[in-house]
Amino acid sequence: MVMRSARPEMGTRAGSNGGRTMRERDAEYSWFFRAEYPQVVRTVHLILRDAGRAEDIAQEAFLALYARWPRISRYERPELWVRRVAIRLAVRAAGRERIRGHLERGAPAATPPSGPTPGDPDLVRAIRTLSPAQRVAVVLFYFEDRPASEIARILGCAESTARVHLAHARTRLAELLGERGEETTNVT
Amino acid sequence: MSLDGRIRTGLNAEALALDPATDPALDEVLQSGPRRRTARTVVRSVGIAAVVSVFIAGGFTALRAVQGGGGGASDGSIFQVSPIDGQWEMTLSVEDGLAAGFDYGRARQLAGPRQLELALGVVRQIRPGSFETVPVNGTFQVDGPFAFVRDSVETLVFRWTLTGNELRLTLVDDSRPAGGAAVDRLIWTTHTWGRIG
Repeated sequence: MVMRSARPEMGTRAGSNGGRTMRERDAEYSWFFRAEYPQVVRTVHLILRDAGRAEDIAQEAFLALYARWPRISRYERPELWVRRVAIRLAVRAAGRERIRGHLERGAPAATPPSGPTPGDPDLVRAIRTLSPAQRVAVVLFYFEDRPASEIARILGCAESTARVHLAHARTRLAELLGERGEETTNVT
Repeated sequence: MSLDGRIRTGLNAEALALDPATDPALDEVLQSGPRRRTARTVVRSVGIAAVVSVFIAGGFTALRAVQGGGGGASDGSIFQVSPIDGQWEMTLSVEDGLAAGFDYGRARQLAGPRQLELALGVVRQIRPGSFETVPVNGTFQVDGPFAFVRDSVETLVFRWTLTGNELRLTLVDDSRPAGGAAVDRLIWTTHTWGRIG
């Protein structure tokens, strides 16, 4: 996906970006940012349950994207790249949080969620007990409607591993929510 | 509602309730992105400069050590300036060889002037005017009153004393057969070595 939304302007500096000026480059990036940033923040928020940290992590990922924009913008799906970076940062943050929780209390961390209060607090509590990788699998599958192959690419694991994460997460959620877990889910 | 439906609905409701401020975040990225790139370039340049400086400083230190010559106590490690660093010379006579028990032919072969070069842990013994390098061309290390001289085959241990410009070496350990030991004892220890220059 190559976005060209700004016309070349006189007096702008031509960079080494395939003839694009810095201003053109920033315009393309801004267009992409506005389209993708809110969704990345929401995804990270669902993983971390912390709106402030979700925004920080999303900004960090978009900063990394900005530094590599001339190259990444030529990718077929640059949004997958920035998602992968943001989610990996989120998984790392969630892992650190769990370790800190284990060390401090001998039990998994239970950071009170910040941000909007959802309509299903039981679901929120249940998701917070999942491992970071399981949380990512659940969020990408149920919220972003991504297939197992893309979940695997974002998590950096095999597709079968992504399916296992999803299946374990679903079983765990069924137990905690008192639902029947035997319903079939078409994980493609 | 099914489990899948409940998860999907719950996640969507929670996510859509969040409305991140996009424009301030974009401004922040567009401002700090170039700054960060500049900072990264600066940090990288400083790192490279630091590494180059360390190499240059190391080179200067080694050069100063070479130029400094002898003097100063040695810490016993190789490639350090030791108290016995320098160029030394002595001359063996045929009588010295005969007195050490060699026959006349061998004593004449061994007789003549010899020079000893000790510098930064490297030792070389030569016969001026000859291409012969006997019997040592190797390394040495000074540890207190002892000097350990090594070539590719063996190690000789000497006790050394320095009196003015006279270096005396005494062989204190030699596990080799008697013949080799006798030659070294004759060459290294018969006379004191006088400093050249």
